[in-house]
Amino acid sequence: MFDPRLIPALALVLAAGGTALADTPRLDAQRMFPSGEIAFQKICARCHTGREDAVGPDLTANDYDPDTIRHFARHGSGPMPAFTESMVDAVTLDQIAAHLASIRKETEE
Amino acid sequence: MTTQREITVTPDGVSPEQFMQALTRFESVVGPDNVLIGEDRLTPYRKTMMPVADEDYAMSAVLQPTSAEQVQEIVRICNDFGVPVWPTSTGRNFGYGTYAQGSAQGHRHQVVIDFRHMNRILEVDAELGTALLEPGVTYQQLVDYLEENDIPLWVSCPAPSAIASPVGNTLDRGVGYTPYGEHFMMQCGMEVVLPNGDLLRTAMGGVEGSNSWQVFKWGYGPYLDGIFTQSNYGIVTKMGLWLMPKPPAYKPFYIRFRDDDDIAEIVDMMRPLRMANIIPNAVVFAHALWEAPAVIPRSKYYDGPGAMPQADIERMKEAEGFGAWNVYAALYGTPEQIEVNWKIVTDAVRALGKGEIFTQEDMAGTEPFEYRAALMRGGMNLQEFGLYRWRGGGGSMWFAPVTVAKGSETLKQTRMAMEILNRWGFDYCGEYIVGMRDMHHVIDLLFDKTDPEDTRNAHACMTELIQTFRQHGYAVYRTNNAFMEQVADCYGPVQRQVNQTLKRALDPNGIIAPGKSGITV
Repeated sequence: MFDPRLIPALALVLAAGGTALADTPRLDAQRMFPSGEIAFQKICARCHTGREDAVGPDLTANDYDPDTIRHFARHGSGPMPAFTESMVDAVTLDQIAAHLASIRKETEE
Repeated sequence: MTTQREITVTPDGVSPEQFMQALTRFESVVGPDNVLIGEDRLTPYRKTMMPVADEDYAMSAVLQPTSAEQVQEIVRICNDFGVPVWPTSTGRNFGYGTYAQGSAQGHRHQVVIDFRHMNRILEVDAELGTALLEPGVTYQQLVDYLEENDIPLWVSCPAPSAIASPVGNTLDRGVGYTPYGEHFMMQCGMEVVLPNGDLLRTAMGGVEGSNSWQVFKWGYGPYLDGIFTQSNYGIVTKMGLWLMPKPPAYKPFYIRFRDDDDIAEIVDMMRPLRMANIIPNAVVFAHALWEAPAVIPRSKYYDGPGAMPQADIERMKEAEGFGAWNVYAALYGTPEQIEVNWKIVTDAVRALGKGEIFTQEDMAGTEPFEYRAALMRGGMNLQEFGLYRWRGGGGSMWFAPVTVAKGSETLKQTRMAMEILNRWGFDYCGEYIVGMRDMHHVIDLLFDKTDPEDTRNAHACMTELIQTFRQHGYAVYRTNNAFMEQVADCYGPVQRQVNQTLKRALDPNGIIAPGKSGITV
């Protein structure tokens, strides 16, 4: 069930007649993605996991270093869009690269 | 601090000295980290899918404000220095020509505002099914918020949408696939920074202490919200949206039709069901060449030059189980309501004498049914990114003429579009998204942007599509930045004059997105 205690913004609005909105937190005050794995699943996996309908190379199978991943994320390539810092920040990109390295390591072992 | 060396381009009509002064003022408002200049930070913003040279559409800087007050200050600075700004919700629009500026000379290299840091979900009323959002909130963030807080409301989203903005999509009058799929119809109340820096709250938002800003669209006097969509009269910093209560039951289904010409009978069969709200959602009629890119590579059946030959399309349909037309729709309500409506739908298909109908159980987790079923309940996915691989080379333009929901009209539009596209060497990757009485005929003109000839042909093809359709009384509802002038002309000189009169009254210095929708001072 809906629990208004979970929505401080709503409580604030109701208390102030629907107009006091200034204290609502920005979502990017928190991490946009809690981990590299989740960021990869939500942004990259559709195109980069080696399915028949994949759009780009399989990042879980190919050995791309973090600099290469960063380059293509920021520049795009052909059908791949370029992602701005506000979409995927530098920390998240590093986490994605680390996540992919861990997958490849598991595969090799 | 900004240095002259980091500036690669300046807005047309603004001297480097003026621009440097403006940048210094911007930095004092939003902070140096939120004034993006230099190749490294701007490169991700500059890639476009349009058949143009990306450098002609390069912005001179990107600003990332965090509050409406900062936007007000930005606008005042723009007026002081004559610097034009092009607002975008999340910094990018992959599908419709992206972030960039008006195509006409004299409006290049505007400063872009990326609202990604203005991403507060200000209010969600679970009882009324309303939300008040800032423009940088993404569909993914809104859905996550509803799920994390166990709020039984559904979002209507376009496909693909995880990193797109509900406010941005609604301002561009985009559509989704649920019963709330006509997004601007489900918008209620805006906050707008006007070109002079004033802050306007539309309709009930103007009444001090009102709690009905997000429930009553009209307020009193002229209804203003519409003039801030697809326009350049102000910068929207908050928007109210209506969200659909999650129904007790949901039944997506699929109807397959074999022949291209079946589109006429499909439309005439579905129209009464849609108008009577038996089928309440934004139904889709997807052509085989829209179905295929979501699940297979083009090279599986054809890897040659030009449009995919009909014989190969037929071979692909047969092998993959695609119809020529593939209808996706859903029923919503209680199980009892759905049972009654399901009988009405299946009776209509049976009476037509063609079309095979399938339920979710019949489709057993296969694509593209699953992603379509998800979209019709507001479930986001990236399945349609496959379109961008279909032709390769990263070129894409949406040609989206409006059509009347009558079979004869759709047959005519489909044939016209196919003939023009195929003659220029492009596939007809099209679908119809069904409104109450209208339909959006959405075609993705896919081309290889790495090939100069293919790119030139794509531009010429788009120009011919717009011209030819205009000669038959058709026009698109939305277009990318490279074709805004041509499309504005389709709507006639009087509309253009009225749009310009409003622009001159509200934004006499022409500092907000000059050229947007063909509107200038």
